[in-house]
Amino acid sequence: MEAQHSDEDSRFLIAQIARGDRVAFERLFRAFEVRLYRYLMAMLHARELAEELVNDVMVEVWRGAPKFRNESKPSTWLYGIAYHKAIDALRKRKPAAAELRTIAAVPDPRPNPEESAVATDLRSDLDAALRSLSPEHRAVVELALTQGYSYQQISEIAGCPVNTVKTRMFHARRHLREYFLRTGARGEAS
Amino acid sequence: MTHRPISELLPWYVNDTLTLEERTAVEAEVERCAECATEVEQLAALRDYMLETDAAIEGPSQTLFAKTLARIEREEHAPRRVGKLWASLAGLSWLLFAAPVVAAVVVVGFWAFGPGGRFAGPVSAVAPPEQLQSVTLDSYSTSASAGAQMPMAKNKVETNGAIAAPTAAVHRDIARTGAISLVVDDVEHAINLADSVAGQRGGYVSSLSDQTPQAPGERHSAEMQVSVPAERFDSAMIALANLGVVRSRSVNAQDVTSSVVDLTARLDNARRTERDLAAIMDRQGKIDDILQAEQQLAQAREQVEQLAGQLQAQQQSVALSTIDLTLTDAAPKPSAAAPSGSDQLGDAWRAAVRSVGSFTLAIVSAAFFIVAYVPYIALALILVWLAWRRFAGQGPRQIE
Repeated sequence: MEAQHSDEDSRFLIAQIARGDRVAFERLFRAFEVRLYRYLMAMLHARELAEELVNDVMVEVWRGAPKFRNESKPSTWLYGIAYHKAIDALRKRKPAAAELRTIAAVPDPRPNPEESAVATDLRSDLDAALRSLSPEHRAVVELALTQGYSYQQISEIAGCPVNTVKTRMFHARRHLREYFLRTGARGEAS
Repeated sequence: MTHRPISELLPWYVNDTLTLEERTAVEAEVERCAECATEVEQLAALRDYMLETDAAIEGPSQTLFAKTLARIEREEHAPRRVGKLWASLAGLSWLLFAAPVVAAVVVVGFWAFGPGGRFAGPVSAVAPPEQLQSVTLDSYSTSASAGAQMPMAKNKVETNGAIAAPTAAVHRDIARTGAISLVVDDVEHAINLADSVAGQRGGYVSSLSDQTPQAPGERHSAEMQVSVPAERFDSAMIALANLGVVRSRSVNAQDVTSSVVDLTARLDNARRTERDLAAIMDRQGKIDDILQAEQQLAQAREQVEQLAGQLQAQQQSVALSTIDLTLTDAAPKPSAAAPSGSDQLGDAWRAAVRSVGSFTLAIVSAAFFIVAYVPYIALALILVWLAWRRFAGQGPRQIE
C-alpha cells in the first residue's frame, strides 16, 4: 500500500538508506512504487517494462542514496531517474512495439449507449493523440497534467532549462491540436 | 508579459503551480483573450482525462519489492568472477572508443615527433610508437577495471537483517526503536515540546528522568522515552530531531516475525492442552486422577497466561515504536548561589537608586529644619551684625 510521505520523511528515509537500512528502503519503495509505476505505464504502455523500470529506479536509489545531496526534492530525484530511464527505453524500443498498448478500461457513468460510444471514441482519439507525441513532449505533458509538477520541477526532472520545458509543452499542445485537425477527430477536448 | 509567454504558462495555470504574480497575469489574459480561455478549458479537459486514465491503471504486481530486493541482494553478494567478467566486458567497450583515439595519437605523434617529423629531435629522445600505444592501452584498461568495480562495492548494512530475505512478499513484523541525543537551549521547554510531538502522533511519554543541576556549572539534562504508533515513527524521529542540535541519532529495526509466529503456535498448543485437561476434569473418575488433572490444568493455565503476555508484548513492540531521547542544555544555567554579572549590576543599580532617594530625603529634611529655625538664625545674625558694627565703628577712629 502506498503511504503518504512528506518530503521531510523521504529525506530521512534516504539518509537511512545511505546507511544500508533496508526497512527505510522498503518504506520509500512503498511510498513511490504506485506513482512511479503509473507514470512509467503512461509513458511506455507496457506493464512488464514499467515494472522493470520501477525496479531499475529503486535499485539506483539504493546505490545513489549516499550521494543524494538534498539540493532537490526527493520526489524530483526519483522522477528524474524514472524520466531518463523511460526516455532511454522509448528510444531503444521499436516503433511497432510502442503501439502494443492495452487501453485502460475507464468506467463511464453515463447510461446512454450513444453518448457512451461517442465518449469511448473521444477517449481513443485522445489516447492516440497523446501516443503520437515524442517521448520528451509526452513526458512534459504527463509530468505537468498528471503528476502536477511545476515547470521548474520538470526542468529539474528532465535536466534541461526551464525555457526548454515551456517550449516542449508549447509544441506538444500544438501537435495535439494539429493531430485533431488532421485526423478530423472529435477533438473538442484538445 | 506578452501573449506568447503567458500562453506558455497555461498548462501550469491548470495544474495550479504558478506563482501569485504569474497566476494574476494569466487570469487577466484569460479574461481578455477568448482563445486563451478556450485553451484553458481544453487543457483542463485533457488533464481530467489523463487523471482518469492514470487512476484506472492497476498497481504493480505484489512481488515487485521482493524482486527489487532480490536484485540488490544478488548484486551485493555476487561472486567476484562476475565482477571480473563485467570488468572485462567494460574494458572491451572502452577499447572500442579507445582504439581510434590511440590510433590518432600515434599517427599525430609519429607525424610530429617521428623520424623526419615536424618537431623531431634526436632519435633517441623519442619514445617508440609501440611503447606509446602500450602505455595508453594500459591506462584505459586500468580505468575501465576501476570503474567496473565501483557498482560492486558492498554497502555497510547496520540493521539487524530486517527484511533480508529476497522472497519477503509475506507480512513481516518489524519492531523499530530509535535513539536521539540532542543539545537544546532549554531542557524544560524541550521536554514539553517532545511531549507534544508524541501526543500529536497518538503516542505518549513512557518514561522521564529529569536531572536538574545540583552545583554551579552543571548542565540540566533529561532522559525520556517516547512511544509512538509504528506508522508515525519516521515523522516523530524527524520532529524530535528538530528540537535541538543532534549529537547522535540511530534507528534499529528488528524482525520479530519468527518470534511472533512461534509464540502464537505455542499459545495455541497451550490452550488446546488446557481444553483437553478441562475435558478430563469433567469426566467421572478416581479422586487421585482428578487431583492430578487439576494440578496439570493449573500449570497449563499459567503457561497460557505467560505466553499470552509475551505475545502481547511482542505485538505491542511492533505496533508501538519507542524513541529514547537524551536532552542536554547547551550551557549551564546560573544558580542562586552564584549570581551572574548582570544580576550583580542590577543589584548595584537598585542600591544606588535607594541611596540617592535616602540622600534626597535627608537634604529635604535638613531644609525643613533650616526653615523652621529661621527666626532664631535671623536673630543670631542680627546680633552678630550689630556686634560687628560696634567694634568695627570704633576701630578706625582709634587708628586715626
